[in-house]
Amino acid sequence: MELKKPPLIDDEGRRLDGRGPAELRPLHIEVDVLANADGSAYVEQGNTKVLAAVYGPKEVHPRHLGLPDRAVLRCRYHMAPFSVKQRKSPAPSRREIELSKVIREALEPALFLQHYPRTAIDVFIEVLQADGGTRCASITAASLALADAGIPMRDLVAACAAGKINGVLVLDLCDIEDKHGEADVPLAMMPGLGRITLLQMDGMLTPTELKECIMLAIEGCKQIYAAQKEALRERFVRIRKEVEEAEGLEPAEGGGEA
Amino acid sequence: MPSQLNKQGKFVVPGEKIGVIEEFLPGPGIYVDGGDLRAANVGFLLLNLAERKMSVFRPTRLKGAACTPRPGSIVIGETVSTQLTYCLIRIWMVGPRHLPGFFTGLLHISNVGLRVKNMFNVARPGDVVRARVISTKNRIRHLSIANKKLGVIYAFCSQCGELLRARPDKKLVCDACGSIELRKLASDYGRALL
Repeated sequence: MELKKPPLIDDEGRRLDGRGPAELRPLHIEVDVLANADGSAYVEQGNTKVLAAVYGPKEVHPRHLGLPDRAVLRCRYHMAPFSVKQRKSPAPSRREIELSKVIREALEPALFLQHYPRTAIDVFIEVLQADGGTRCASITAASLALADAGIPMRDLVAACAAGKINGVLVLDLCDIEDKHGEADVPLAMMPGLGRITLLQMDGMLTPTELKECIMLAIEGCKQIYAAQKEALRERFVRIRKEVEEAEGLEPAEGGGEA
Repeated sequence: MPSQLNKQGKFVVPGEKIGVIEEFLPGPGIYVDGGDLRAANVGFLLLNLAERKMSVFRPTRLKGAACTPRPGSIVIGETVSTQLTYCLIRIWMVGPRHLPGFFTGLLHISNVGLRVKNMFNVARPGDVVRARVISTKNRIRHLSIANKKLGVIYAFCSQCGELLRARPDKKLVCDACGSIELRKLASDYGRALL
């Protein structure tokens, strides 16, 4: 018996949540949300909510785990027990361990790890609520947390998925679309440099469709990148204003204008 | 060059193209990518027109600046063990910034700056020490306290653990048990802010 697939796109081309095919979910990004971490960020993409925290660089213990020529990036992607409908065991699952590796490898090309030999940089990613696209939201949040922690980077990493549902290529799939759709292509990139750091695919696509999906995801990443920059700017300019007010200085001319 | 001066204090994020290598030299927080100058850190642009150098400035008030002890940095840490000829120091602060974890440094008797027979009269376990990193050869952060401003800034009694008070003759006295101890003191012993 085959389960009946719910219609994911209506006759007018609208998706379940009323979006058009090439539309992102409502995006909300905040930087520096945790007082105790060196850098942190919070990303909300529709109903997906992700928190990322960065510590480091710090000395590696035991010492032999450190690398003589660069820092070790340690990533932990974790889903909170309450992040899904049915309670998820808090122990790291096979999927979480794999995603930790995938996220680490998506972030590594963006970092100047060679500046910090024999040290470790820890990235902790906590999925508070999962509704599809958690790996992409995690990468977006983690790269912001790294930038907030002052780790030198080539570029921010933005990530977004594209896919195919009911025969239509769409951007930023939510959970239902991911489960019942035909394909899902998560992509992470450094939009400023135009380099892709993560490309995965699940499902079936023709080569032309894949190409179109990638182009769609790149467009999505660019939109997310703009929001990332805005979130960082908001925080730094606010701090600068506070400092200037505390010191009784006139705000610098053109200061903080991007 | 008004266009270049306009960049002074501009907010930048990593990856942002700021100029080309012909205009400026890359300073801290800037990297070169195919002839372009790009920001490697979040912060505000700082132009040094005299040296034609560009760097990214991060407000010091912000925590986390990815700092590690490098040769020349002044660090503050706690002595974890004292041997005849060296002390191991657990570094928590680099300059004004607290570290997310800690780094380990080694203070050898030859870098104390005084003629001492052994390290027990220089720093003992638990003492808070200010030192300068002099080298990172052989994967070890070598520290030095050969300066008036460097040395122990807080010491604790080896008998009872009380904070020691410095007498004008630079000997340390414990107000709780009365024992008298010696350390290599920094000029601001007991007054340093951590």
